[in-house]
Amino acid sequence: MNVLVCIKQVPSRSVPIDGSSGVLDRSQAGGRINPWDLYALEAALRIAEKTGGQVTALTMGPESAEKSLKTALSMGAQSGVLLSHRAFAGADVYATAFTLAQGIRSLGAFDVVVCGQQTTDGDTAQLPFSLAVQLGIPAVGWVKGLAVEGDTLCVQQELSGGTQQVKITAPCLLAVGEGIGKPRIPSLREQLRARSREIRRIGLSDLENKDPDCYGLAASPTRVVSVSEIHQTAHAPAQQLPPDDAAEKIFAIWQQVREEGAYGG
Amino acid sequence: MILESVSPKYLSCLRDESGLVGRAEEICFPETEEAVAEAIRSGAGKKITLQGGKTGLVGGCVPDGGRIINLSRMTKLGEVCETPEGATLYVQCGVTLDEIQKKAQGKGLIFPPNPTESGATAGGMFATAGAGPNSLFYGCSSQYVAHLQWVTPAGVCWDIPRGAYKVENGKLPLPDGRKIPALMGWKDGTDLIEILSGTEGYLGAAVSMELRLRKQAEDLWGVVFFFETQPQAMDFGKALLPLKEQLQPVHLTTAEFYDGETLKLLGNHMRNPLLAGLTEFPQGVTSAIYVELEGPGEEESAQALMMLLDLFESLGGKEEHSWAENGIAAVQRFRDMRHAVPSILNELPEICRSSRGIRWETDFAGREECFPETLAMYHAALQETGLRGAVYGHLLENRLRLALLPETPQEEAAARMLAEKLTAKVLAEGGNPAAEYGVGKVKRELLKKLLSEEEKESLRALRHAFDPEERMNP
Repeated sequence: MNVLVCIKQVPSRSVPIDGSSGVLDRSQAGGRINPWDLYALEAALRIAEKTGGQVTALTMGPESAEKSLKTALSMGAQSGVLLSHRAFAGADVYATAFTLAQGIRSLGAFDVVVCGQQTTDGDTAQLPFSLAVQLGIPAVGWVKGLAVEGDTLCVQQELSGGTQQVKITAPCLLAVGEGIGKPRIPSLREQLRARSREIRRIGLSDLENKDPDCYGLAASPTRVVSVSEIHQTAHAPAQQLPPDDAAEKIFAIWQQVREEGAYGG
Repeated sequence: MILESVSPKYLSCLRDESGLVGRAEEICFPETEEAVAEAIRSGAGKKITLQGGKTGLVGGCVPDGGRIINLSRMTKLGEVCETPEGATLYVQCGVTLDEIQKKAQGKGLIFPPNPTESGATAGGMFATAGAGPNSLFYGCSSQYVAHLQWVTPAGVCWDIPRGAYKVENGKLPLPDGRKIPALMGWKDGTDLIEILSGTEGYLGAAVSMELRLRKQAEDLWGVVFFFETQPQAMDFGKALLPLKEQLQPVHLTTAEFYDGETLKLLGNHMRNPLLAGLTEFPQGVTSAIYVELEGPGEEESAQALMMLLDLFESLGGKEEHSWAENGIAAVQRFRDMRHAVPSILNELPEICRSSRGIRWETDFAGREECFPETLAMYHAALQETGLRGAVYGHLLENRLRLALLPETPQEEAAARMLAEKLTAKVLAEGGNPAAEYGVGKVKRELLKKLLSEEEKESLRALRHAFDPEERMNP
């Protein structure tokens, strides 16, 4: 199976939020690969090793994001691709997923797309699912274990209060958490080799959709109005529902919530 | 100033990481320099013990009756001040290393000394002349103190800018106008700040200071080299000494050694949060050397790393027997690995401690190029006594530690005798038997036994020049 891993360069220390735009001010941040993406890389490498495929690491970001791609190469990815253009800047989850999907399509077909479950900067944990929708493939999130059986991935998915076994065939997307196992540490030789390897660059002109207004801040429906700390005020325990009547029970709960107006009716 | 009796809620203030437990009648938590001075003055006639983060390993802050002055609420932290001469940061003595680094890193700077315990306080680091694995290049914490506020055992605040009070013609001028004769081999030009550093609260309290910061290195690398045999590791270490110069402009800032027992210890505690970022160690390795390199750019670093790799492979090192990371965030996992060693040793339930709660570990510094001899001395001693021990520490500075791991009272007695014997040997050879953790209360009796009369007299004279009643940190 050929695997594509989406990675992101995140600030290596805490950064302020720009008051006017509501986006993170990364100017003084330094950069490192998103720690969750190391687990994604580990999962991707295991799938490729098991099936004899190749791993491609893709990131969207400025030139400096090349460093994170080199980290991916040092861990064992066969190629790295930097998706970069000024039109991509300031993208929210939706616009980032759109851009990544355009980039992935321009690279050809992949059997599996792997993402880290979340990032340490935006921290929404939504991108993998938005990307799966854009690519038109099924997704499994919170993956904590996986095995390959022929062309099927047997995935352990972390749920509140339990673990779910899922079988999924390619093409598909996995959003991986730390339960997958510790990411490998590159050797010095691998690190030095990675430093001298070429990174492929693709920009707006390489994508199917070349309209700059479809990317970045201009195409982002999210607007940060204010930033505040939230506190959990209630806790509803997870319920294990038997498969036979789960749908019926979920519908009943949804109806009850709707009638009580908990979410504005 | 509020004085409280040492009720059960303050039991944690009677101990530190050494395991030693003390006693005290009263405790106070001053928040200003003047309040510290008043706490010392008002305790006339009482024994006084100064306390910071309580992360020490030799019982330096463990009280022996009297009053505890706990400085953990001295937590004022200034803003980074950048001038053409360099950047400084004002801190009170209770500010932790972690807080200092966060403040510095926000401006792309670092406080170079890196004692591995991030909860250590500025005052504690100064009192113990704390350094850390990167002392190979950066030296110890006192070198980064540009200005010191000091409270004397008489409860007087001294303002000490670096360079203002230095030994001259065999005399040291003090801020109160006295001049005391040079003691302990001080040379002309030795700064009062350096003299006060490492005195473990015997001569007063470092209450606040201005710390010098440095720009973060452009390119930071951490590499762990694993070896199948210990002679291979020693050959690598010996070759590093001359290679250090050839790596320029890249600086070798750290060279830490782990023997097989230490690796086994770490391997058995992989669930320790400090080891969360590591995978299993390679199979069949018996020792490791961790190095850090700081370079001005990627190209220079790559050349230096290639030299290290060539050396490693020429000694039979295998490609898969190294780990390498780039950048401060990624390298942190290797720093945590080093920090994990004393942390795990301190928590081993099976280790038999002395009746005072002490764990036996050497803290020697010998002649730099003699680290293979130090390692051989440790291993010979372990073989002779049949004791189990783990060797780790700063390799190129020859500050290797031997942590003894006795599991029965008989073995504990043998461990104590071995520690004494090794200390006497190191002293006889001109080495320092309390190189980094300090003397504290754990090694005081041992040193009393082993120091010459002349050396003891010199220490007494220094103490009496500051604290004639011998009240401070009894």
